[in-house]
Amino acid sequence: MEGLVKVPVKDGLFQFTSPSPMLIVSCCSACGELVFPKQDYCPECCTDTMEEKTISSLGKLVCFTGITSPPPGFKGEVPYTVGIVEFPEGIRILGVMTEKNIDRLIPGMDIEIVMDTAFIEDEKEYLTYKFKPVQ
Amino acid sequence: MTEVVIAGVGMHEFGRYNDKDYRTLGSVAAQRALKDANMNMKDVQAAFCANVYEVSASGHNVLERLGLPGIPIVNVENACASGASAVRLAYQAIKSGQYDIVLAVGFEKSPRGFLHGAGYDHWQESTGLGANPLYFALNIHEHMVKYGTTKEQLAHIAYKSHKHAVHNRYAMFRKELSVEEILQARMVCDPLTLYMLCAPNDGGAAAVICNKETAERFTQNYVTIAASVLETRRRRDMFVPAVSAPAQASYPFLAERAAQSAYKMAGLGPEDIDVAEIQDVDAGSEIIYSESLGFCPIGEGGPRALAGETSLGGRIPINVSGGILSRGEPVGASSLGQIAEITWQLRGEAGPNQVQGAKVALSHSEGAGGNSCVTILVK
Repeated sequence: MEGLVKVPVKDGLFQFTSPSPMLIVSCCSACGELVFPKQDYCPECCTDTMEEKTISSLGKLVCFTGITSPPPGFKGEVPYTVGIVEFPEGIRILGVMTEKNIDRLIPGMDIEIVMDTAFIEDEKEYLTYKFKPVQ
Repeated sequence: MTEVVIAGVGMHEFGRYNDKDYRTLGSVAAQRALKDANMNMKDVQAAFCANVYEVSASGHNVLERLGLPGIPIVNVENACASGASAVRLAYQAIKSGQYDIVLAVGFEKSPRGFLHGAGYDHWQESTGLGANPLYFALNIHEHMVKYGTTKEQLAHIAYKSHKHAVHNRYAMFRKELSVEEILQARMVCDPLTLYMLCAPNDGGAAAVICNKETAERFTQNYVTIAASVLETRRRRDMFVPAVSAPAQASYPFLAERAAQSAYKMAGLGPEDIDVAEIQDVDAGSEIIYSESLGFCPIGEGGPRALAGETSLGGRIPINVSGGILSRGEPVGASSLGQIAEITWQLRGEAGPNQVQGAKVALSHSEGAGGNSCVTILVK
């Protein structure tokens, strides 16, 4: 994707300019609840006690699925895979995976967060976070 | 204490009707329910109308076909739990003494294929995370990893559904399928093949809800609502359209909480239920919810189903109407359809799919946004 302007699919989801890609989460200063994407109010306390934090650690793949037909509004390419990854901070997050199919995915495997192309539109490369098996 | 009863139910067959609009689907169901209760619109004092995909005031447009008595009409949208949410509103309206007779009607003319508009943010849809079957597939895959649930057990759920639906005139798919056909069908979201997922379709369903004294002036063929519960998602429920959840939580999952509330309200337990219609939006969900509702220990839903415990004639028959997998899911009508099915079971009118001697029945729906309704009816 040389020459294309890189833009995030949505502001505030992740940091893609730092050397190690990071997801932006909210952590409640009162109860410690973690939420992704970030939000102002704690889902447990119902107070605006959330503070911004980042997650860049390795997680474990909990479960996954493969998709071969494009769902409504999808702008990327099929086939692709989606997984839930559990991070040691105590949160599980849903995300698209770097693998095209599920053949090499194993429950429990180590996963790193990477930034990758979600789709190209209007000569812009839209980036999203993806989950990549650690080789 | 006001005893709230269902005096009549009716359905418009679930299927695909290119020549019928939502007004017809809804009004046919409402008219059948009123006829079943020996009533007409002039007897009804309020109506709650469940629908997801139509224009504003769709319930008004449905009911005007049956008369214009000038009653309050409220339209209800709560995803797959819309119909049961309408029943809950009707239940509360009767229980409070505000009205004696209330109509709950659900109807839908669904878009084809993957449902959209389930509350996803734009970025979720554009990157490929905005698809309901993804969530179903991930939930059952985690169950498979944790408890050893197998693809054969999933196929059995779909096999059982289609076998039962052969006898149900209200179901869309009425052809038996072999386990092999189900396993070899197109893979939609691994491990769920095409036949392990429900199809959004068209249909209507309705119930007339009254206090017992009023119902008895019209019919003796009523059943009592012992519980009508609606609960919504908390953080740990990774349900459409959630993107994250805590790794650990100290409270039960959504369907478990809704079931516990319903059992408490009814003064009954899962062991008292004779027949159940539960949200088998996919084969995996039936396994997971059969556990959440307390019909078997967590992790045993697959083997128990395979052993026949949840089939007609088994210990706890589940979705003997064919469920959502075979009826299809006209979203706004679906959970009212479940309530119609269990009403017929308690009245002994379920034909070849009758669970003999059924006295207590449960319906469970669960939908986008994280809505869970559990309704318990007793004869």
